[in-house]
Amino acid sequence: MWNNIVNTALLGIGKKTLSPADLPADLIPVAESVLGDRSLDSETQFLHLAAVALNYRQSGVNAVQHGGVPLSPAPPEEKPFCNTAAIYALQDALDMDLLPLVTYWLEACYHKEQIVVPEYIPVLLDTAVSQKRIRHLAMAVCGKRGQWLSAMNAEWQFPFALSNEERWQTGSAEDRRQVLLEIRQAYPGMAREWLAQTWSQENTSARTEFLRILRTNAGEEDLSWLESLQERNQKVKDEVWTLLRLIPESFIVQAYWQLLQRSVSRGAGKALHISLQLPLDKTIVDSGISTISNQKNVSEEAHILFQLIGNVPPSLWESHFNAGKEEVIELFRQDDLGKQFIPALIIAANRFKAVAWLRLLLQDTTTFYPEGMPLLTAAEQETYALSIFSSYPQDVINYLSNRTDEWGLTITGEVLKWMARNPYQYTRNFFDKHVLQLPPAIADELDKLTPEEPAYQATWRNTSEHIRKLVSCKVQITNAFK
Amino acid sequence: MLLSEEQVLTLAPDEPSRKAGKALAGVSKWVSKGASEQALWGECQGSGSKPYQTQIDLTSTAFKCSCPSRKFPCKHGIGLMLLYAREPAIFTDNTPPSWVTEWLDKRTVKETKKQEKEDKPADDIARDKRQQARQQKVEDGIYELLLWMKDIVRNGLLQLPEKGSSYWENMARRMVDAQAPGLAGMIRALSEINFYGEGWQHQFMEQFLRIYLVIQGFSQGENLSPLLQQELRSLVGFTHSQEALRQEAGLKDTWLILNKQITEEDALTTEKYWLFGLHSYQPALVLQFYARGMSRPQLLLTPGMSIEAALVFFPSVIPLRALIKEPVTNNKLQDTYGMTGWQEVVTAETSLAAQMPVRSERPYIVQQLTPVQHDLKWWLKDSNDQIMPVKDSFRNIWKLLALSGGHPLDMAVLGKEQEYEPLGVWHNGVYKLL
Repeated sequence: MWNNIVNTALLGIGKKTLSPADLPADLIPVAESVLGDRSLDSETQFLHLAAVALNYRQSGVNAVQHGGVPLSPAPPEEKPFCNTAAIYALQDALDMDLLPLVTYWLEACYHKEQIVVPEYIPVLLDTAVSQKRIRHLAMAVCGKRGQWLSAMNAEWQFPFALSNEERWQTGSAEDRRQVLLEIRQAYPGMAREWLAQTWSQENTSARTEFLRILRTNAGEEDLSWLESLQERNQKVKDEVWTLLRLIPESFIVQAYWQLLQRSVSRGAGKALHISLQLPLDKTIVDSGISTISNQKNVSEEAHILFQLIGNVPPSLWESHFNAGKEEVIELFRQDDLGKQFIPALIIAANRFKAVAWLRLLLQDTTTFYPEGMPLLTAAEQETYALSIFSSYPQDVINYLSNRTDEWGLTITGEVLKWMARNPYQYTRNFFDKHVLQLPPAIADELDKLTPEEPAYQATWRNTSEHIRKLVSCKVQITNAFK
Repeated sequence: MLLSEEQVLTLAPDEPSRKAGKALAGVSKWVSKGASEQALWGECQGSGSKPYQTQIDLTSTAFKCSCPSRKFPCKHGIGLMLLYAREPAIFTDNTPPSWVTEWLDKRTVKETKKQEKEDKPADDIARDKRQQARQQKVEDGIYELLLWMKDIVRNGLLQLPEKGSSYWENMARRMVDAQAPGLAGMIRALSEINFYGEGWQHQFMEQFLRIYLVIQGFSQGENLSPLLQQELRSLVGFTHSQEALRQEAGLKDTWLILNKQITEEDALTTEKYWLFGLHSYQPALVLQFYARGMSRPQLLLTPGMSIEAALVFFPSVIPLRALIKEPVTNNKLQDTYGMTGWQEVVTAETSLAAQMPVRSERPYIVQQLTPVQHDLKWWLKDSNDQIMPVKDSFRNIWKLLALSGGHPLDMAVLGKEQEYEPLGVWHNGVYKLL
């Protein structure tokens, strides 16, 4: 009926008119009465009937009877819901649009073995669509209801349920990278075996990328496979060399050491005798040792020796000089050329995880060696960072920014004090990104860090306010999941 | 009255105010703070030398702040209320300072004056004369409108998508000149139809016939019941004196505030509050208009709460639009009677259509509805396995599904005929807005 009315209207009643047959039986008497009224023009007759039909239609609406709509209910939850304070904190983190805080919230909820209340599931899963790294966490805290919902929404069907092996064999490039990294950290041998199995199918860029991941926990067990690789691509070759240089037992590290033994010896008293025989063996050059110095005041010989020293375990020097660590360091420091190699020893100590060596080398130094930091404990790192902060403020900040754990209060105070006096270099964005590294107690210290320069004081007040807001949200999250 | 955080946030005029308010919901921001049964107050240290004095009348949810913000309520009001929602125990001062009592007293005086003003008799004769002149103008306008409509049906709708905007706007302006702004609005709604979208013909015919029904009804004049006449006059564009309406006896009830919808057009903000009488089962629509930055909304209702108030309905055979007679007091939203299923809704709809064929959507509360998917659309299934489509424009389907988990929920829906939009659900005994 309604379609007849619309079709007539579409063509215009100049071309098509309504007849009682176009209307349902109930309306035929009305239609006959309207169409029989000669006082009405044909347009009015049509409008009258269409209006009656509209009302007839809207008065006769019924729901559809359909018992067979399949929707099995969500299974019951197995974990408890988080509390209201946690929900307030989550809402704050979402309102501020800060992924680090949302991630922190998800981690806290996950570790407390709790789940989010149902109405927040869509917003968390939506966030996880664009943020791959939080997918696993988001799915976990969304509980059974989240799994049930995601089955109905194609965008939320993350491959979270796959095993690590399936992820490695069938996942996306990013997923495979992630899984290899996880496995390499926990089971280094298994990661190498998985890569060896798929090696022939990987392209150059994947090979380079995966070899880079093997730098974590590289060891003697990797040697036979690494040495068996016949690579043509230079990038892949370079990465293989990098790995071999990390393993003390590798032939290349041994070759470096043999060369160093011949080149550096103990002279009379505390002097060193340093003399490198050139040209270098081709294998050593191929392994990535550059032969041309890029600094005017550094000779080619010193440049090569620096690299070689940085690539052998520092403990080898103890037996070579038949001396303790302190004495070896002293020997290098006392020698005019040898003291240039102290940074190389730091690099080597870090590379071969010689913590005792590193502590001694960094003692009393006034130079910043970021490469030496990761092996130290957080407290040691901060003591060292504090000691050289005034000379290398930005380098220290860059280093701290790359750390994932919370900074100590003292170093944070120093860092923020410096930032307060350099307001254009470190804006709110910096704090948004690094909110998790800021210790909550810093909120009470911010006023004390106000710069003396009046021009910077207002900016610092605003920045302090922002930092307080961020830290407060972090504290709310921590407290909610205590 | 203690509001939840979510409820306080619905009072914020916009998203930035919401965020700014949240930032101020910390103890450290407030130099002083206190609460009594009637009011909430606090002093917030802003960028000025003196702290801003923020005060809230809790009985009728009114805000005042000494800050220069043009937003209403300002971020300080939202912040203070949020803090109170989170930590009521820290509001230990229960004696309002003088600046709070003075304001509360002034509000009472103002209310009395308003009442007195409403009591003054209007000049009835002059008004009648103006009405008669206007009636004539409207009738002339309607005559022209009818000719225009007949042209459209004679020539067919197929040519309409090619018409430029002036085709519609000229007739709408003609209706404004004829002092029939209601009809002008209905014509503009025709021009807003997407003539390139599927099914535009149906949408067009429905709206077109609504206009026809209104002008036909209006022309019937005194042959119709006085109530229907008044309603048709409203649709044409005759306004009712809200002051006169306020003097009428209202319907006293506990009114559930099911949701609030905000639209903005040409800097004019329209707020639609959907209410439902707990005992009368009467739905109501309370409209509020204000120009952002120029004026302040008179009324602040909190969706998800209920109010004890008397409502006066605009004259209608199927009353919906209403005014709230002050004062109102806020309460928690309680559970209420809901219709047992879609059959009850469609029966009510049919009865309404019989009384007034031109009508807008209205809220219903229906028991035990489950969102389900069928034919690539979302539907709401009742306990009798009857399903009704969810409006395509409904944006919170996933939130609804998350709350439901495939289980039925008592639900407030808004709609008419065969499309409904969920407004909120009772989830574990708590009303959640959608």
